[in-house]
Amino acid sequence: MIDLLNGFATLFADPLALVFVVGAAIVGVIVGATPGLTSAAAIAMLVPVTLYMEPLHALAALVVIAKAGRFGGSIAAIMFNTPGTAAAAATTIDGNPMSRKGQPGKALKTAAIASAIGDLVGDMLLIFGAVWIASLTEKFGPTEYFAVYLSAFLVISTVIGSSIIKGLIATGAGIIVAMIGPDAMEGTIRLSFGVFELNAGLHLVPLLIGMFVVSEVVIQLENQSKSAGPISIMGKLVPNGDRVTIPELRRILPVIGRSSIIGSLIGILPGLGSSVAAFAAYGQEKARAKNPEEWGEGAIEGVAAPEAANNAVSGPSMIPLLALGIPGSTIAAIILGVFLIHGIQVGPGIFENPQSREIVFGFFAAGLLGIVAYFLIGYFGAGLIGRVISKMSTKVLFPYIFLTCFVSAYAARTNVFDVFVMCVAGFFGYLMRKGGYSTAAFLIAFVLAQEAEFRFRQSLVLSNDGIFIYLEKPIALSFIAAALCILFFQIRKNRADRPRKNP
Amino acid sequence: MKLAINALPAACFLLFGLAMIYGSITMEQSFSGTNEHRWVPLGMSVFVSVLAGWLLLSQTLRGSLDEGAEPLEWRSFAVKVVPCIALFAAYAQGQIWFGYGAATFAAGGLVFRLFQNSWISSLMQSAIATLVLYILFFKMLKLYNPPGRWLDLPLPF
Repeated sequence: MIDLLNGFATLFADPLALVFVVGAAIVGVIVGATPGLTSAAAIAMLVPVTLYMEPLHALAALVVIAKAGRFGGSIAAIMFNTPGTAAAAATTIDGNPMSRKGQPGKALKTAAIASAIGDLVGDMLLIFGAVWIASLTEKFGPTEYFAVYLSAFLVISTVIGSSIIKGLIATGAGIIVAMIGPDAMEGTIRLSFGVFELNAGLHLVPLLIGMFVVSEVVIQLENQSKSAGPISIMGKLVPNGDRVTIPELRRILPVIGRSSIIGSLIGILPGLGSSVAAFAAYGQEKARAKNPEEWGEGAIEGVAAPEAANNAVSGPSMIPLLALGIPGSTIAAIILGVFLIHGIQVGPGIFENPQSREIVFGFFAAGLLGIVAYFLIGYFGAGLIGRVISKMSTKVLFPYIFLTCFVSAYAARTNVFDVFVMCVAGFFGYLMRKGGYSTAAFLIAFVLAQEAEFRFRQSLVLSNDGIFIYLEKPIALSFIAAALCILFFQIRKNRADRPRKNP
Repeated sequence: MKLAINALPAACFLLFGLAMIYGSITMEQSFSGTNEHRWVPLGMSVFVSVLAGWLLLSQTLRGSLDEGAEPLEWRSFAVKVVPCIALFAAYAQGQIWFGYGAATFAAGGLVFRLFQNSWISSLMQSAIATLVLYILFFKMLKLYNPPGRWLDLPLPF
């Protein structure tokens, strides 16, 4: 607790950090509310800019964009019937009917309240959970670490996306691409095919921008003729129809509480993400509801449940990152990259080193302050933001994004070769998205692969029995067994689902 | 024909895996005289190739789209996607030949036009975007802006 207060003190002592938090909250809400743009895409474009910032400023800005972006998705879901993010798809079910009934203001305010409370619950779990788990993992050696990485690869490729085989291919491809460049143990150059620029390996930023942003620009260009014209706002505002009354607040608070817990628990598991949490909470609350017939027709609880759950994922998804160094989501993978760029080693030691401890608790404090910032923006200004976005045209927006991508990719290492890498990544990102392969699994595997290989080879050096060392260490064995169980149950679930999907 | 284009992602992964198998096999020995640095890339390349090959075969035999995949169309792919990626790559090369300002103005103009803006609006928007990005990245963040090999267009700041 004292560390958290110190984090707030660090943040308040630095007015520029506060400016970044508030600015990031505004950017995050706008990006999240813009259909076709995601907070991961915005963060990907901003990572090169953060190279020129203090570590705390950079991390604070990125985490707040991610949080505010999750809330921003609800604006598009409620006002335009087009979820700004995948996580906000569940909000559309009741949010848009509320808007059509003349209550867009009430739906937006409910979403702001639910998102802020859900995020707060998730952040509390992050702050106390990460420190506790990190203290448990202090004694991990290379064998245990490799087991954790292996289980992360298996879980991520299994649970992200609709097909296990495609998840495994995307993860495998991410690992191979990370192998390009110097070998972590001996420094031997690998897979460079004689291209000088590949000798240093590939940088995360051009891959991120290519896969998330360039592929989206290509998809938008491809769909130009299908979706021309501005976005239309659903429903008109009715006077006095935009307030959340005290009886309504009493009705939604228990829903928000339960959904926040569901979202927080789902958030800890790598790869599941906000959309799973939102639909799980929506389904759970609808099943418990006394008025199930009103759900889908504009029930206020139907907005509160998914919004609380999808924002509650945000904090706990950072637990595996901070405690073990394993990102559980794309945004966590980007934030891992930013930690490493600024020379901060994530994992159990992060809470031991006084300098990194101060930054991490400042990062937590920035997250909490960001919740307050986006709540105020959302509660009082979401309607205005929605109206401004409805006036924006993809015809103008995406060319600007396209030009920013190029200069961002160049800025990462001031190397034009990275711009070519971004173009290739954009083409592969397009094919992967069209083919149903997870770009998130690819990027998470890319970020983890070097360290995983290093730990693997380190543990083999320590062992006389070769690969059997993993059977001798109970912690390592239990991680691998748990991951194999998840893989097995997911395969069974997919097989059981198949006849229902293809009758 | 429809199936052929929809199998393109799996075919690309197969080709990628095979290229990486070749790259792993032909890798030089490490400084310590061992081949350990080949194991992981070779193993993963074989793994990806086998899975992609199996997926490609099953897609071809089944003759229908996979779950979670969106249909690709030859016409759209050839007329929109490939030229679009080629334009992006030409823009990157254009930065080396003509410098940031000229390349960005030209590529920006074309992209604004591709997004169905009028020519005049495209050129105006492109000029504004070039200046704004130049000021943000090269002046405020002080990024190194290399001159073009063939043309060094001075920007007014």
